Amino acid sequence: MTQPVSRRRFLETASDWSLRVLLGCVAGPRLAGALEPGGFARAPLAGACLTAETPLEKTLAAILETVVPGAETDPEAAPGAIEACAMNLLSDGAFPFRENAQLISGLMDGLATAAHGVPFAALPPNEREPLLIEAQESLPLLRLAYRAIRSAFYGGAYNGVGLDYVGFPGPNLGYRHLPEFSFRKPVSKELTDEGWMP
Amino acid sequence: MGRNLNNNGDVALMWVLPEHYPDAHLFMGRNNAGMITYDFWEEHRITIHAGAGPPALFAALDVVRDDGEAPSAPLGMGFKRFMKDHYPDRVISALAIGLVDGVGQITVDPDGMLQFDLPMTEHLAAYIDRVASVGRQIADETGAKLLRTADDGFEHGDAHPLGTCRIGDDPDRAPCTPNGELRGYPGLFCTDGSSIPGGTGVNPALTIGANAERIAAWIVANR
Repeated sequence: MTQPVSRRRFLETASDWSLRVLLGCVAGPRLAGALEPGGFARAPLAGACLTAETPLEKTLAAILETVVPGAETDPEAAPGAIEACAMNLLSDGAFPFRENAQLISGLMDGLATAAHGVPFAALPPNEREPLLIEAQESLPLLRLAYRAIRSAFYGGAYNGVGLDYVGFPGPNLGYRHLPEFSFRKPVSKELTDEGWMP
Repeated sequence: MGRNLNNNGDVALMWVLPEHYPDAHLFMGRNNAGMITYDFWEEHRITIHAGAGPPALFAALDVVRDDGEAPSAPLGMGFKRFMKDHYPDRVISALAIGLVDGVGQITVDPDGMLQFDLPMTEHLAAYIDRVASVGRQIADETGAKLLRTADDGFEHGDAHPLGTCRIGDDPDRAPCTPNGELRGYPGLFCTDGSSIPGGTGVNPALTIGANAERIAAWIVANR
């Protein structure tokens, strides 16, 4: 049995779901969750960050810490890529990161050893950043890796520490967060060939 | 089919607001992407669509200062402090949209994967230079600071792809009839953005919707 759906109701429903999908894809749980009256659409991943155990992972952790400095190297000890769970990129099939992790790690260790005689993770922070910039000239793939790392922090891919740091106020809800505003109440009617819309 | 891909001239622009401008509370209004200027249309065939850029934009684009000042790369403490100091109320992002040739194409490789190709032609490079000059003109006249959105200049994107299954009278240039029916496949219609024959110079959403309604009306009346 089918039920008639007004054109206005259809458009409202369609646009609402389109918005949820778009926001969910763009910035993960924080944005999608902001549309839910009860908070997150799915549980935030606080405390679920992968940690660096192997030498390869420790080099990657040093790269993450350099792209978005966090508690270890930020003078204000504000969160960075590590606290944004960027190590989770290694287990995330949505990013082509883990397939290239060994190449990236090996390249940076090689450059660091050639320039300074120590692996990348042993360098002080002020010597890591120029190496990352230099390396992207010889391996353009690194730009994409840096984008993936930034997406964990600035894009809120795994948690909201980066969004909180930059002061992102949440998606534009069109005043729907203000109870006194008339969102979802008809503010005007549209005249069609069949008369005023309901 | 798959040829004549037109990216609608999308180029990403960003500015840091002049110091004497008030904060832009872009995420608090009812509309965040409704500001469009046609001021550059007559001379350049470019429209500028300003909006509120989500922070994920700064992950996807390589945003750095156009004048060579810090941050020189979108990483490290310099970039993190830049974001903290300027986002979201002191940075305006915009999409330039304009008329460009449909020179791209989408193909399917032997593994069944879609391959997207948008070559940087002389025409497209000149168009991006014109967009950059408009971005700098806005910066010069307002006191804003233009940001680069790609390492080598300004990101030209594919947010509004058009034209890969376009409608038209000429069977050699258009897979679909003017009524959207795929030639050689009676009853199969294309009504999405790929049926739009070329760039629109503005956000194509309404044009796509209007064309789909026109084709739907034709189907109802003729089939």
